[in-house]
Amino acid sequence: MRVETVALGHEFGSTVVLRELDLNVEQGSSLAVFGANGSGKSTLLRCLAGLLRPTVGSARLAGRPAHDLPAAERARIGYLSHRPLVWGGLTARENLRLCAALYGVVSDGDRLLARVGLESRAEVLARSLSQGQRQRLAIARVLTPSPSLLLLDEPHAALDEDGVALLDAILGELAGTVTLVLSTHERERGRALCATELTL
Amino acid sequence: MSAVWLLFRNELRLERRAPQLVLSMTLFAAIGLTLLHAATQLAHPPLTLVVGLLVVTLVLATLLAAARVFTAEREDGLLDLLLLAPIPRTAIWAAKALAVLALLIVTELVALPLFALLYVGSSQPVTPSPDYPLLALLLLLADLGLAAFGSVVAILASATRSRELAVPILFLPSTIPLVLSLVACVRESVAGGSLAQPLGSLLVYDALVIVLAWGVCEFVLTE
Repeated sequence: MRVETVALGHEFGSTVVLRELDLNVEQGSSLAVFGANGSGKSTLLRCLAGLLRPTVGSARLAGRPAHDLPAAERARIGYLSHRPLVWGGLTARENLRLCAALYGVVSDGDRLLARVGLESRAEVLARSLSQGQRQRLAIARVLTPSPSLLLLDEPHAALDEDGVALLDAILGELAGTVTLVLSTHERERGRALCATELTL
Repeated sequence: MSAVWLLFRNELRLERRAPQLVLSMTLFAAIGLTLLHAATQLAHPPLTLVVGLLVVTLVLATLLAAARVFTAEREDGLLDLLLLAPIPRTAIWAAKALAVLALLIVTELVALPLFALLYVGSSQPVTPSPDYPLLALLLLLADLGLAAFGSVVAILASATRSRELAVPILFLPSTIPLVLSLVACVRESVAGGSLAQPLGSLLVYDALVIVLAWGVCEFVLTE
Protein backbone atom coordinates (compact mmCIF):
# COMPACT_ATOMS: atom_id res chain seq x y z
CA MET A 1 0.00 0.00 0.00
CA ARG A 2 1.46 3.33 -1.08
CA VAL A 3 1.71 6.10 1.51
CA GLU A 4 1.68 9.74 0.55
CA THR A 5 1.29 13.02 2.36
CA VAL A 6 0.93 16.42 0.78
CA ALA A 7 1.66 19.53 2.89
CA LEU A 8 0.43 17.54 5.89
CA GLY A 9 -0.02 19.55 9.05
CA HIS A 10 -1.77 19.07 12.33
CA GLU A 11 -2.50 21.33 15.26
CA PHE A 12 -3.92 20.57 18.69
CA GLY A 13 -5.52 23.87 19.62
CA SER A 14 -2.78 26.48 19.23
CA THR A 15 0.02 23.89 19.30
CA VAL A 16 1.38 23.05 15.87
CA VAL A 17 2.57 19.45 15.88
CA LEU A 18 3.16 18.79 12.20
CA ARG A 19 3.84 21.34 9.50
CA GLU A 20 4.01 21.12 5.70
CA LEU A 21 5.09 17.51 5.55
CA ASP A 22 5.48 15.89 2.14
CA LEU A 23 6.10 12.15 2.09
CA ASN A 24 6.05 9.38 -0.42
CA VAL A 25 6.57 5.75 0.56
CA GLU A 26 6.08 3.34 -2.29
CA GLN A 27 4.37 -0.03 -1.94
CA GLY A 28 6.79 -2.45 -0.28
CA SER A 29 9.19 0.28 0.78
CA SER A 30 9.93 1.46 4.30
CA LEU A 31 10.45 4.69 6.19
CA ALA A 32 11.99 5.26 9.61
CA VAL A 33 10.67 8.33 11.40
CA PHE A 34 12.99 9.90 13.97
CA GLY A 35 12.39 12.84 16.23
CA ALA A 36 12.48 14.07 19.79
CA ASN A 37 9.56 13.57 22.16
CA GLY A 38 6.68 15.74 21.04
CA SER A 39 8.04 16.20 17.53
CA GLY A 40 4.90 14.69 16.00
CA LYS A 41 5.88 11.09 15.26
CA SER A 42 2.78 9.59 16.83
CA THR A 43 0.57 12.27 15.31
CA LEU A 44 1.99 11.47 11.88
CA LEU A 45 1.30 7.77 12.33
CA ARG A 46 -2.23 8.45 13.58
CA CYS A 47 -2.86 10.65 10.55
CA LEU A 48 -1.55 7.91 8.27
CA ALA A 49 -3.73 5.32 10.02
CA GLY A 50 -6.74 7.55 9.44
CA LEU A 51 -7.35 7.89 13.17
CA LEU A 52 -6.74 11.62 13.03
CA ARG A 53 -7.97 13.96 10.32
CA PRO A 54 -5.12 16.36 9.49
CA THR A 55 -5.97 20.01 9.99
CA VAL A 56 -3.87 20.98 6.95
CA GLY A 57 -2.97 19.07 3.80
CA SER A 58 -3.69 15.41 3.28
CA ALA A 59 -2.52 11.91 4.11
CA ARG A 60 -3.33 9.36 1.42
CA LEU A 61 -3.10 5.58 1.37
CA ALA A 62 -3.28 3.83 -1.99
CA GLY A 63 -4.43 7.15 -3.43
CA ARG A 64 -7.36 7.63 -1.04
CA PRO A 65 -7.67 9.97 1.98
CA ALA A 66 -6.47 7.95 4.97
CA HIS A 67 -9.30 9.11 7.24
CA ASP A 68 -11.92 8.10 4.71
CA LEU A 69 -10.84 4.64 3.61
CA PRO A 70 -13.43 1.98 2.84
CA ALA A 71 -13.52 -0.94 5.27
CA ALA A 72 -11.64 -3.29 2.95
CA GLU A 73 -8.74 -0.83 2.68
CA ARG A 74 -8.72 -0.15 6.44
CA ALA A 75 -8.31 -3.88 6.96
CA ARG A 76 -4.93 -3.74 5.20
CA ILE A 77 -3.46 -1.42 7.86
CA GLY A 78 -1.57 -2.85 10.82
CA TYR A 79 -1.21 -0.19 13.49
CA LEU A 80 0.84 -0.53 16.64
CA SER A 81 0.65 2.39 19.05
CA HIS A 82 2.24 3.14 22.40
CA ARG A 83 -0.58 1.14 23.94
CA PRO A 84 -0.92 -2.53 23.01
CA LEU A 85 -4.60 -2.19 22.02
CA VAL A 86 -5.66 -5.51 23.45
CA TRP A 87 -8.57 -6.42 25.71
CA GLY A 88 -7.14 -6.87 29.19
CA GLY A 89 -10.06 -9.11 30.21
CA LEU A 90 -9.43 -11.58 27.37
CA THR A 91 -6.70 -14.16 27.20
CA ALA A 92 -3.93 -13.79 24.64
CA ARG A 93 -5.58 -16.45 22.45
CA GLU A 94 -9.03 -14.88 22.76
CA ASN A 95 -7.63 -11.48 21.79
CA LEU A 96 -6.26 -12.88 18.55
CA ARG A 97 -9.44 -14.88 17.86
CA LEU A 98 -11.59 -11.79 18.32
CA CYS A 99 -9.27 -9.74 16.16
CA ALA A 100 -9.38 -12.38 13.41
CA ALA A 101 -13.18 -12.52 13.62
CA LEU A 102 -13.46 -8.73 13.37
CA TYR A 103 -11.23 -8.78 10.29
CA GLY A 104 -13.08 -11.74 8.82
CA VAL A 105 -9.96 -13.90 8.55
CA VAL A 106 -9.32 -17.43 9.78
CA SER A 107 -7.65 -17.26 13.17
CA ASP A 108 -4.02 -18.26 13.04
CA GLY A 109 -3.62 -17.25 16.65
CA ASP A 110 -1.63 -20.20 17.96
CA ARG A 111 0.98 -19.91 15.22
CA LEU A 112 1.27 -16.17 15.80
CA LEU A 113 1.51 -16.63 19.56
CA ALA A 114 4.30 -19.14 19.01
CA ARG A 115 5.95 -16.71 16.57
CA VAL A 116 6.11 -14.00 19.25
CA GLY A 117 7.11 -16.44 21.99
CA LEU A 118 3.82 -16.41 23.89
CA GLU A 119 2.62 -19.97 23.27
CA SER A 120 2.91 -20.81 26.97
CA ARG A 121 0.91 -17.68 27.88
CA ALA A 122 -1.98 -18.27 25.47
CA GLU A 123 -4.55 -18.78 28.23
CA VAL A 124 -3.38 -15.91 30.41
CA LEU A 125 -5.50 -12.77 30.58
CA ALA A 126 -3.80 -9.94 28.72
CA ARG A 127 -3.98 -7.74 31.80
CA SER A 128 -1.91 -10.32 33.69
CA LEU A 129 0.88 -10.29 31.11
CA SER A 130 3.94 -8.17 31.66
CA GLN A 131 4.27 -4.98 29.62
CA GLY A 132 6.75 -6.63 27.28
CA GLN A 133 4.51 -9.67 26.83
CA ARG A 134 1.56 -7.41 26.05
CA GLN A 135 3.70 -5.73 23.42
CA ARG A 136 4.49 -9.15 21.91
CA LEU A 137 0.76 -9.88 21.92
CA ALA A 138 0.19 -6.54 20.20
CA ILE A 139 2.67 -7.56 17.49
CA ALA A 140 0.75 -10.81 16.98
CA ARG A 141 -2.47 -8.82 16.90
CA VAL A 142 -1.08 -6.49 14.23
CA LEU A 143 0.00 -9.45 12.10
CA THR A 144 -3.34 -11.29 12.41
CA PRO A 145 -5.03 -9.83 9.32
CA SER A 146 -1.83 -10.04 7.20
CA PRO A 147 -1.61 -6.28 6.63
CA SER A 148 0.01 -4.69 3.60
CA LEU A 149 0.89 -1.51 5.51
CA LEU A 150 2.53 -1.53 8.94
CA LEU A 151 2.43 1.67 10.98
CA LEU A 152 4.54 1.00 14.05
CA ASP A 153 4.90 3.65 16.72
CA GLU A 154 8.01 2.92 18.75
CA PRO A 155 7.36 -0.82 18.61
CA HIS A 156 10.57 -1.76 20.42
CA ALA A 157 9.54 0.09 23.57
CA ALA A 158 8.89 -2.29 26.48
CA LEU A 159 10.48 -5.26 24.70
CA ASP A 160 13.40 -7.10 26.22
CA GLU A 161 16.47 -8.05 24.13
CA ASP A 162 14.85 -11.25 22.86
CA GLY A 163 11.70 -9.37 22.01
CA VAL A 164 13.63 -6.71 20.12
CA ALA A 165 15.48 -9.38 18.13
CA LEU A 166 12.23 -11.19 17.45
CA LEU A 167 10.51 -8.04 16.18
CA ASP A 168 13.50 -7.17 14.01
CA ALA A 169 13.42 -10.69 12.55
CA ILE A 170 9.71 -10.43 11.78
CA LEU A 171 10.18 -7.04 10.12
CA GLY A 172 13.12 -8.48 8.18
CA GLU A 173 10.90 -11.31 6.88
CA LEU A 174 8.22 -8.85 5.83
CA ALA A 175 10.64 -6.43 4.14
CA GLY A 176 9.67 -5.77 0.55
CA THR A 177 6.23 -7.37 0.87
CA VAL A 178 4.63 -4.79 3.15
CA THR A 179 5.00 -1.03 3.33
CA LEU A 180 6.51 -0.05 6.66
CA VAL A 181 6.48 3.26 8.51
CA LEU A 182 8.31 2.92 11.80
CA SER A 183 8.84 5.61 14.40
CA THR A 184 11.73 5.11 16.77
CA HIS A 185 14.32 6.91 18.86
CA GLU A 186 16.96 4.35 17.88
CA ARG A 187 18.56 5.70 14.71
CA GLU A 188 20.80 2.71 14.07
CA ARG A 189 17.96 0.26 14.37
CA GLY A 190 15.66 2.42 12.27
CA ARG A 191 18.26 2.67 9.53
CA ALA A 192 18.87 -1.07 9.63
CA LEU A 193 15.18 -1.83 9.26
CA CYS A 194 14.11 0.87 6.79
CA ALA A 195 15.20 1.98 3.35
CA THR A 196 14.52 5.69 3.91
CA GLU A 197 14.35 8.00 6.88
CA LEU A 198 12.72 11.18 8.02
CA THR A 199 13.54 13.36 11.01
CA LEU A 200 10.77 15.51 12.42
CA MET B 1 -20.82 -13.57 12.39
CA SER B 2 -21.85 -9.92 12.40
CA ALA B 3 -19.60 -7.39 14.07
CA VAL B 4 -22.40 -6.29 16.40
CA TRP B 5 -22.93 -9.84 17.65
CA LEU B 6 -19.18 -10.41 18.02
CA LEU B 7 -18.66 -7.25 20.03
CA PHE B 8 -21.82 -7.78 22.08
CA ARG B 9 -20.74 -11.31 23.01
CA ASN B 10 -17.35 -9.91 23.93
CA GLU B 11 -18.95 -7.28 26.18
CA LEU B 12 -20.91 -9.99 27.97
CA ARG B 13 -17.83 -12.17 28.36
CA LEU B 14 -15.82 -9.30 29.83
CA GLU B 15 -18.66 -8.37 32.19
CA ARG B 16 -19.09 -12.00 33.25
CA ARG B 17 -15.39 -12.20 34.14
CA ALA B 18 -15.29 -8.90 35.97
CA PRO B 19 -18.90 -8.00 36.82
CA GLN B 20 -18.33 -4.40 37.80
CA LEU B 21 -21.12 -2.69 35.90
CA VAL B 22 -23.85 -5.17 36.65
CA LEU B 23 -22.97 -5.17 40.34
CA SER B 24 -22.86 -1.40 40.59
CA MET B 25 -26.15 -1.00 38.67
CA THR B 26 -28.09 -3.60 40.65
CA LEU B 27 -26.71 -2.40 43.98
CA PHE B 28 -27.50 1.19 43.05
CA ALA B 29 -31.05 0.30 42.02
CA ALA B 30 -31.63 -1.69 45.22
CA ILE B 31 -30.22 1.02 47.47
CA GLY B 32 -31.98 3.77 45.52
CA LEU B 33 -35.39 2.08 45.78
CA THR B 34 -34.94 1.40 49.48
CA LEU B 35 -33.89 4.97 50.18
CA LEU B 36 -36.78 6.43 48.20
CA HIS B 37 -39.18 4.12 50.04
CA ALA B 38 -37.77 5.21 53.38
CA ALA B 39 -37.88 8.87 52.39
CA THR B 40 -41.48 8.93 51.13
CA GLN B 41 -43.16 6.83 53.90
CA LEU B 42 -46.58 7.16 52.29
CA ALA B 43 -49.61 5.11 53.30
CA HIS B 44 -51.09 3.53 50.18
CA PRO B 45 -49.02 5.59 47.74
CA PRO B 46 -50.44 6.08 44.23
CA LEU B 47 -49.11 3.67 41.62
CA THR B 48 -47.99 6.46 39.28
CA LEU B 49 -45.74 7.85 42.00
CA VAL B 50 -44.00 4.58 42.85
CA VAL B 51 -43.58 3.64 39.19
CA GLY B 52 -42.08 7.09 38.67
CA LEU B 53 -39.64 6.41 41.51
CA LEU B 54 -38.75 3.04 39.97
CA VAL B 55 -38.14 4.56 36.54
CA VAL B 56 -36.03 7.40 37.92
CA THR B 57 -33.95 4.82 39.80
CA LEU B 58 -33.41 2.90 36.56
CA VAL B 59 -32.52 6.09 34.68
CA LEU B 60 -29.87 6.83 37.29
CA ALA B 61 -28.61 3.24 37.12
CA THR B 62 -28.24 3.70 33.35
CA LEU B 63 -26.23 6.81 34.07
CA LEU B 64 -23.71 4.60 35.87
CA ALA B 65 -23.47 2.40 32.79
CA ALA B 66 -23.13 5.38 30.46
CA ALA B 67 -20.31 6.76 32.58
CA ARG B 68 -18.35 3.50 32.56
CA VAL B 69 -19.30 1.44 29.54
CA PHE B 70 -16.65 3.06 27.36
CA THR B 71 -13.87 3.06 29.96
CA ALA B 72 -11.76 0.30 28.39
CA GLU B 73 -12.02 1.78 24.91
CA ARG B 74 -10.91 5.15 26.25
CA GLU B 75 -8.23 4.12 28.71
CA ASP B 76 -6.72 1.20 26.76
CA GLY B 77 -7.09 2.87 23.37
CA LEU B 78 -9.28 0.04 22.10
CA LEU B 79 -11.36 2.50 20.14
CA ASP B 80 -8.41 2.87 17.73
CA LEU B 81 -8.41 -0.88 17.22
CA LEU B 82 -12.14 -0.94 16.54
CA LEU B 83 -11.99 2.07 14.22
CA LEU B 84 -9.32 0.37 12.11
CA ALA B 85 -11.17 -2.92 11.91
CA PRO B 86 -13.24 -3.41 8.74
CA ILE B 87 -16.55 -3.19 10.57
CA PRO B 88 -19.31 -0.58 10.39
CA ARG B 89 -18.59 2.08 12.97
CA THR B 90 -22.17 1.97 14.13
CA ALA B 91 -21.52 -1.63 15.17
CA ILE B 92 -19.37 -0.27 18.01
CA TRP B 93 -22.33 1.70 19.34
CA ALA B 94 -24.90 -1.00 18.66
CA ALA B 95 -22.89 -3.60 20.59
CA LYS B 96 -22.54 -1.23 23.55
CA ALA B 97 -26.26 -0.43 23.43
CA LEU B 98 -27.14 -4.13 23.48
CA ALA B 99 -24.77 -4.66 26.40
CA VAL B 100 -26.36 -1.80 28.37
CA LEU B 101 -29.80 -3.23 27.51
CA ALA B 102 -28.76 -6.61 28.91
CA LEU B 103 -27.40 -4.95 32.04
CA LEU B 104 -30.63 -3.00 32.51
CA ILE B 105 -32.71 -6.17 32.20
CA VAL B 106 -30.56 -7.87 34.83
CA THR B 107 -30.91 -4.80 37.04
CA GLU B 108 -34.68 -4.96 36.69
CA LEU B 109 -34.69 -8.63 37.64
CA VAL B 110 -33.43 -7.43 41.01
CA ALA B 111 -35.29 -4.12 41.15
CA LEU B 112 -38.78 -5.41 40.32
CA PRO B 113 -39.02 -8.02 43.12
CA LEU B 114 -37.67 -5.44 45.54
CA PHE B 115 -40.20 -2.93 44.24
CA ALA B 116 -42.97 -5.48 44.82
CA LEU B 117 -41.68 -6.23 48.30
CA LEU B 118 -41.44 -2.58 49.32
CA TYR B 119 -44.63 -1.25 47.78
CA VAL B 120 -47.00 -4.18 47.20
CA GLY B 121 -46.09 -6.51 50.01
CA SER B 122 -46.05 -3.80 52.68
CA SER B 123 -48.78 -3.25 55.29
CA GLN B 124 -49.98 -0.15 53.42
CA PRO B 125 -49.55 -1.20 49.81
CA VAL B 126 -49.62 0.85 46.66
CA THR B 127 -53.06 1.47 45.14
CA PRO B 128 -54.01 -0.02 42.80
CA SER B 129 -51.73 -3.04 42.51
CA PRO B 130 -49.48 -2.86 39.48
CA ASP B 131 -50.28 -4.70 36.27
CA TYR B 132 -46.96 -6.54 36.12
CA PRO B 133 -47.08 -7.68 32.47
CA LEU B 134 -47.83 -4.10 31.39
CA LEU B 135 -45.16 -2.73 33.70
CA ALA B 136 -42.60 -5.21 32.32
CA LEU B 137 -43.49 -4.23 28.74
CA LEU B 138 -43.20 -0.52 29.55
CA LEU B 139 -39.86 -1.02 31.26
CA LEU B 140 -38.56 -3.01 28.30
CA LEU B 141 -39.56 -0.20 25.94
CA ALA B 142 -37.92 2.31 28.27
CA ASP B 143 -34.80 0.15 28.40
CA LEU B 144 -34.44 0.32 24.62
CA GLY B 145 -34.36 4.12 24.66
CA LEU B 146 -32.16 4.32 27.74
CA ALA B 147 -29.63 1.82 26.39
CA ALA B 148 -29.48 3.41 22.94
CA PHE B 149 -29.12 6.93 24.27
CA GLY B 150 -26.86 6.02 27.20
CA SER B 151 -24.41 4.33 24.85
CA VAL B 152 -24.21 7.21 22.43
CA VAL B 153 -23.72 9.62 25.32
CA ALA B 154 -20.88 7.38 26.48
CA ILE B 155 -19.25 7.66 23.05
CA LEU B 156 -19.80 11.42 22.88
CA ALA B 157 -18.44 11.93 26.37
CA SER B 158 -15.38 9.80 25.67
CA ALA B 159 -14.28 12.49 23.22
CA THR B 160 -14.45 15.25 25.84
CA ARG B 161 -12.15 16.09 28.69
CA SER B 162 -14.84 16.77 31.27
CA ARG B 163 -16.64 13.49 30.63
CA GLU B 164 -17.78 13.05 34.25
CA LEU B 165 -19.77 16.25 33.82
CA ALA B 166 -20.76 15.65 30.20
CA VAL B 167 -22.47 12.30 30.77
CA PRO B 168 -25.16 13.45 33.25
CA ILE B 169 -25.66 16.81 31.53
CA LEU B 170 -26.24 15.16 28.16
CA PHE B 171 -28.09 12.11 29.40
CA LEU B 172 -30.47 13.11 32.19
CA PRO B 173 -32.47 15.94 30.53
CA SER B 174 -32.99 13.81 27.43
CA THR B 175 -34.71 11.10 29.44
CA ILE B 176 -37.50 13.42 30.67
CA PRO B 177 -39.85 12.60 27.73
CA LEU B 178 -39.29 8.91 28.33
CA VAL B 179 -40.13 9.16 32.05
CA LEU B 180 -43.21 11.31 31.30
CA SER B 181 -44.47 8.87 28.64
CA LEU B 182 -43.98 5.84 30.85
CA VAL B 183 -45.73 7.40 33.84
CA ALA B 184 -48.55 8.59 31.53
CA CYS B 185 -48.99 5.00 30.36
CA VAL B 186 -49.40 3.85 33.97
CA ARG B 187 -51.77 6.74 34.74
CA GLU B 188 -53.98 5.92 31.74
CA SER B 189 -53.91 2.26 32.62
CA VAL B 190 -55.07 3.00 36.18
CA ALA B 191 -57.79 5.36 34.93
CA GLY B 192 -58.95 2.81 32.37
CA GLY B 193 -58.13 5.20 29.53
CA SER B 194 -56.46 4.56 26.21
CA LEU B 195 -52.74 3.79 26.20
CA ALA B 196 -52.39 4.67 22.53
CA GLN B 197 -51.00 8.17 22.94
CA PRO B 198 -48.49 7.65 25.80
CA LEU B 199 -47.41 4.28 24.41
CA GLY B 200 -47.01 5.89 21.00
CA SER B 201 -44.88 8.62 22.59
CA LEU B 202 -42.68 5.98 24.20
CA LEU B 203 -42.24 4.16 20.89
CA VAL B 204 -41.52 7.41 19.04
CA TYR B 205 -38.94 8.29 21.70
CA ASP B 206 -37.22 4.94 21.23
CA ALA B 207 -37.26 5.23 17.44
CA LEU B 208 -35.97 8.82 17.48
CA VAL B 209 -33.23 8.01 19.95
CA ILE B 210 -32.06 4.98 17.97
CA VAL B 211 -32.01 6.90 14.66
CA LEU B 212 -30.31 9.89 16.29
CA ALA B 213 -27.77 7.68 18.05
CA TRP B 214 -27.03 5.85 14.80
CA GLY B 215 -26.31 9.10 12.96
CA VAL B 216 -24.46 10.82 15.78
CA CYS B 217 -22.16 7.91 16.52
CA GLU B 218 -21.26 7.47 12.84
CA PHE B 219 -20.31 11.17 12.74
CA VAL B 220 -18.54 11.26 16.10
CA LEU B 221 -16.54 8.11 15.48
CA THR B 222 -15.61 9.16 11.95
CA GLU B 223 -14.58 12.68 12.89
